[in-house]
Amino acid sequence: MDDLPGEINLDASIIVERLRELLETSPVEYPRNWVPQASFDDLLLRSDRDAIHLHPAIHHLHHRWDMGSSRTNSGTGKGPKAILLKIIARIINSSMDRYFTEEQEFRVAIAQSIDALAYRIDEVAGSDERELLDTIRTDLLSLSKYVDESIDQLKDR
Amino acid sequence: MVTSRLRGRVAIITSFWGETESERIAIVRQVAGALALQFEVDVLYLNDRAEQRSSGFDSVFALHTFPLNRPQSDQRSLLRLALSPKGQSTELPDYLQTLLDDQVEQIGSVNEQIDLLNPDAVILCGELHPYDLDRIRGEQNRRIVFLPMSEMMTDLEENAAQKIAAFADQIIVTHPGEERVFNDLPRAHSPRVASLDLALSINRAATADTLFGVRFFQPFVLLIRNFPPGGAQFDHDITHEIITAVAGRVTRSDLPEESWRFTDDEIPDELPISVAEVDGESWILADNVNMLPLPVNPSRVNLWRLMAHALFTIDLRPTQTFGRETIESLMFDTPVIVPDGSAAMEHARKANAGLWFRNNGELLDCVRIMTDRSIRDRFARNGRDYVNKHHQDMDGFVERICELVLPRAEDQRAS
Repeated sequence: MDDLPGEINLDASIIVERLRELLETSPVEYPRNWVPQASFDDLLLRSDRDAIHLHPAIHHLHHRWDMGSSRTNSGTGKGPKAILLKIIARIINSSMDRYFTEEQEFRVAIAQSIDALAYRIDEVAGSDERELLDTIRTDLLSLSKYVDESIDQLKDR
Repeated sequence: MVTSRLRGRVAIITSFWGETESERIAIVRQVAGALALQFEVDVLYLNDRAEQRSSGFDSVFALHTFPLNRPQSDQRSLLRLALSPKGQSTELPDYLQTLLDDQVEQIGSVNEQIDLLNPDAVILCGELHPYDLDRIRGEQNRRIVFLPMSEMMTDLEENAAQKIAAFADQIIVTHPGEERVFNDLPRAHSPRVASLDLALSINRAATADTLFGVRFFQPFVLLIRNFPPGGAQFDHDITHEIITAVAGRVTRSDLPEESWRFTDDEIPDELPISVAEVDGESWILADNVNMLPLPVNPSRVNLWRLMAHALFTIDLRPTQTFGRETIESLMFDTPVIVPDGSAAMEHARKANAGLWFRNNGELLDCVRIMTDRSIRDRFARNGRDYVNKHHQDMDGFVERICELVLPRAEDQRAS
């Protein structure tokens, strides 16, 4: 668009004509008949590597690391058995509180570390594939330019 | 509109009839329908699938079916060549001509049927056979109208087309390209040429629902690969990823307000341009990341829905007789990008309402140009003016086609 002259009076025929003139006289060695490749996103989506962070074991970890509710839950009901269980739960929680807190922090640390590792592995794998595809794309582009230039040189002889 | 008394009889000779949905058949049916309001209409259908002659009715038309065995024309030429005296012209002695006519009876049968029906006018719709036009005209001096309906402009350069054109009283063209070809004929060969200006009706009310309730993908470009389903398949070099990559993004201010996307929590200032792709039975909406199959019937009304809200339409299908989807897109104020040399391109050029391409590189450049809102708006206005003038007035169309086929002045003179 920027290459088009400013005042073209918006006549479709003139636009097409000028566009073709520009392409014929353009110093840019861009192969006009060559079509850019599609993005590689589809290829990545169809990749045979499954993302590690979606592994079912990590999914299980995400849902089970938090023991907060077990620590505060002292049972329900109003019968003599329920009242006895509540009293026992309170005694255990208050006496073991320090150990349970440590256990909880440890679980959090494990979940976070495994998560970080999984994402990092996926990132490395993904960028590795993407880099590979980008390299192929760049190579193909430079090849098409090379072929185009060679044809131009042949024409000049 | 409907006249109480029919004012004559018209015979249409064509091989474009039947149930298949093709542009040529649609044009012939619409012309026949319009004529039926003022004339008794007989359709002489040259059918390559029929095995024997038959007569009956199809809707309001009397339908006479003739088996059209296409190899027969080759056979006829070979016979003519074989029977000709060596080294002399291909003019045959009468007895050999009779023999030949016995062998190949198709054209003779049509002539006989014309004699039997005795119409006031005969229309050759898309038929480039070298008929015996003198015989068709007959002693009654019947009016001969030629509706070439060419798919390729080169069809019109053939001898048969030129001869029929030279002999016809009236040529009715389906797009400005055909008009140009016939107007450029040498003076002695240029009969009256008029444009068919086929009127189309669209259902605007049905198109109010933006993208069948899917708002996520707006704004979008309509890409027609194959429509109606069952048509020819074309290569898929140009993908929706390429179109979206080339079209880039638009700012909100460059879009009509009704097309703004409100599904996001924060309305972005820039929106990516998506592609609505119509490929036979498969319709999808896609951008660089997401792709959503559209669970809709591949019907014309649904195509209108896409046309009505698209930034512009890209039609990848090559030559057609009329370029109906281009006209419809312009009716919805949506400019077009169409293949060079097609009927659609002839409309786009005359309307000054779209761009055309010879190859994929040019197509992508056209897409870049069309992303400019001021250009789109201007093309949309031009397109609307064009279709309003040429393709919207159904009553006017009926009156004009009847007048072109058998002008009232000649009608009165004959009576």
